[in-house]
Amino acid sequence: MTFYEVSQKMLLANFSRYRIYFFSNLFAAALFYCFASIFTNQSFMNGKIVNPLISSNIYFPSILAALFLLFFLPLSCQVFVAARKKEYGILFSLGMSRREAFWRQFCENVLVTALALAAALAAGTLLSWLFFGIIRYGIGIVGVKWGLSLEPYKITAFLYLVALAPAFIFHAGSILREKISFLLKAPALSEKEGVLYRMLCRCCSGYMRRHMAEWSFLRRHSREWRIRSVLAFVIVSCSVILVSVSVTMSMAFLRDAKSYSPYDMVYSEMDERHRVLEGNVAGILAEYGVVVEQIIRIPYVRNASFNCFPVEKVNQYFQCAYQVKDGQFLNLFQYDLQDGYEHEMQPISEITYNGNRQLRSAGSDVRILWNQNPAFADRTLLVSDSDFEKLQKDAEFQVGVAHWFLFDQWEDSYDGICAVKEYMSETNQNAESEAAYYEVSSKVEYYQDAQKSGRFLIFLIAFIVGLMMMAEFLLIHFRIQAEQEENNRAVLSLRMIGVTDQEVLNDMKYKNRLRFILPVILGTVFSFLPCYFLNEAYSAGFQGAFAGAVFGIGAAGAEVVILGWYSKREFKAMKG
Amino acid sequence: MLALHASNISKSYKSSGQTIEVLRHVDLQIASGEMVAIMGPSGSGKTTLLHVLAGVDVPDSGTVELGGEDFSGLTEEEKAFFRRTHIGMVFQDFQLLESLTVKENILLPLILNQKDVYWQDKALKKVMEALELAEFADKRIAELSGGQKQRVAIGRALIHEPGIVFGDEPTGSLDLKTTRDVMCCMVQMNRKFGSSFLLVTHDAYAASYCDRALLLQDGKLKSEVRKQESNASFREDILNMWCCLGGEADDFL
Repeated sequence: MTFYEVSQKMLLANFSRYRIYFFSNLFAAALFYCFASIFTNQSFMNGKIVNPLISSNIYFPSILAALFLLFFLPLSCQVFVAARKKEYGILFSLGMSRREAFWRQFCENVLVTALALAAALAAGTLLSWLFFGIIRYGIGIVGVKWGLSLEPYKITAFLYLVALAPAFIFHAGSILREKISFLLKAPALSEKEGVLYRMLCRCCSGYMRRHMAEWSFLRRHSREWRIRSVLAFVIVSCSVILVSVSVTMSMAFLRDAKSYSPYDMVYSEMDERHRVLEGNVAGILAEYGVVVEQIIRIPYVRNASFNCFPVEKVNQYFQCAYQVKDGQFLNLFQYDLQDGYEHEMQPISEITYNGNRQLRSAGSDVRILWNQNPAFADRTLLVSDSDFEKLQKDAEFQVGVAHWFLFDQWEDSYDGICAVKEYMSETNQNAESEAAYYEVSSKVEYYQDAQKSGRFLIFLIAFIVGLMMMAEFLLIHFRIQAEQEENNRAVLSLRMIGVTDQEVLNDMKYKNRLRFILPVILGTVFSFLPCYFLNEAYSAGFQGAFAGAVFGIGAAGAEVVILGWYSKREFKAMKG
Repeated sequence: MLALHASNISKSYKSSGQTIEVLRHVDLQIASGEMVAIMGPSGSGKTTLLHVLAGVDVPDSGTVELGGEDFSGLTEEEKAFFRRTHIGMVFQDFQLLESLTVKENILLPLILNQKDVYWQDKALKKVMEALELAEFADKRIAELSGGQKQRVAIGRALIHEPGIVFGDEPTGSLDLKTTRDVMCCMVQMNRKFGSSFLLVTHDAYAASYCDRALLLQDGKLKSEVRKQESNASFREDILNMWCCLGGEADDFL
């Protein structure tokens, strides 16, 4: 028998112990692959196919999935390596050198992690196919195509190696540096009395006497308990914050869709092109049951940077009272400052036209007057009517007419707008490259995109939060598994001194709940303020904090139920 | 010839800012084929001494020679190679690999030494017969009793015919009858293989199977007792000597 055969046999015989390591790696890498396959998908990231309002949602969850991978893989590596400590202690005592041990560990890790990565990429491919199915048919983002490309595989494999290689070197190195005597024996577990313990003993002596055994156990494992609790606290806090932000953000998307679209449809003529009869447009809309209540048409000029609108017309149609003198202009920022985004608010100070004529800024205002349209430039200036006439004659400016429509029921206008688009496309015969420029924009489409964007965000966050909660339960599983031997002895002793099975089970439930639920509760409580302040950017501080609290309470409830079930299972295994 | 020669061994630990001297200038010599017990109550430094002598731990000062070779100056790597060829180890809690069978556990030192199958089979047969383990060869460790496990550990310690076998409380977790079986087995192996045995124990009954007992107190070897006649009288001598040193007979019962 060779050393290689023995190593192989030990690896296979212990596979049940490495299973968790294998599946943790598989799970984390497969999920990251799903996100990588989306943000590297050309059809999804193409602004012409998927609205950037939707596709931009992928970045934040992808970063979280990457962080999860970078955090979770080293943790599972630590658990895997720690499970082998005693084995290496025995082999060292028999004369295995540290170099041999390192290579053995290296080969085992490479084998397990390579298998896990291969399985993860295969599972991830399947999962991403389902992911795209949900995006396409569940969320309704049509036009997205699932496809295989090397890029997400490369990114996932790279990140996987980045997460595992240093963790392996660190943890395997710690075994190699450890004294043989330490590896052979379990570390002595000291029972230190913490401040909390002393306070509880003083204040609730009856309670402490009743739960003496559980508290003694917790004190013995206080170090591991602390590390695990901090991790659980971080996981729960992040989950609560993500849930609350996703709920308020998806509501904010809908609100923004309405606030940025005060009119229900807008299109623009430009340099005599894209000119259609408004009566024909209204007629088409009427065919689809859309009644036009108001049409506003205002001429404007634009260059590459800004639009200029005549102030009198704007005042007349949009119920404003702007005063702009000749030789001046007003910067109009059409933003909702409560929408949660940062906006470019640097005003233009002067413009030159006809070679040497100048207009100077008379100030600025922030107010949404009309919907945006692809034909408009990013900035809007209001000028006096006489200056506007002069600007119209300047060859550097394009001259257009914007048309805004108000309907009786915008919610039902989608089909009508599609018909108008078709009519305009047929009438104008615009080149494909210019088609987007003369696009009709509408509130209903913006609202539908916002709905899809919100659903997509919630779907992604649900995925990430599900992932994190799964990690939380895996941490619990790791912890309970690591304590199994000690628990077996404790249960045996308790039963020998006459403690009934039901009492033992209750004690186990109590012990598990005490240490695993506390971080969930603290995570929920401490994330209240971050939730409030993060959501206040969308003017929804209390709603966001409430959503987070509901999720936190739900998570704690789920954990109580699962821990009860797990304790029963653990107890049955011990009895067995 | 000396199997082990340790001189001036000292070892201290730091705990809560205080330095605790565990071993103080310990000198020890064990002849080839001799069976020696080091005795002392809990916390007297027995296991630390054993770990230092077996190269598992490093002394603060002093030298350890095994089979005439100075052990203390070797690197970690060299120590590991030395251990796998010249030393056998038996532990209180057996320290067997649960994932391997009895046969595979016993063969581990030869596997580490990269001995070929012919040598492995030959040595295994010899050990299995001597320890009466043949019928358990393909069993898993979990299927064995405490005494059987310790016999497997003894087989593993002896299969590569080391110069010396170190036993760390080898009967510490066994009942009286199994202790007697295991100690008889060790004596038999000692005679058959000619390896020296150094056992640390606080059990006077187990120590009475050895040729010599050394009493360790406060990190120093205070006295030694040689076996003159029967195991029973040797045990009496050990307890008497311990009481003379100010200890209580209960420490070794």
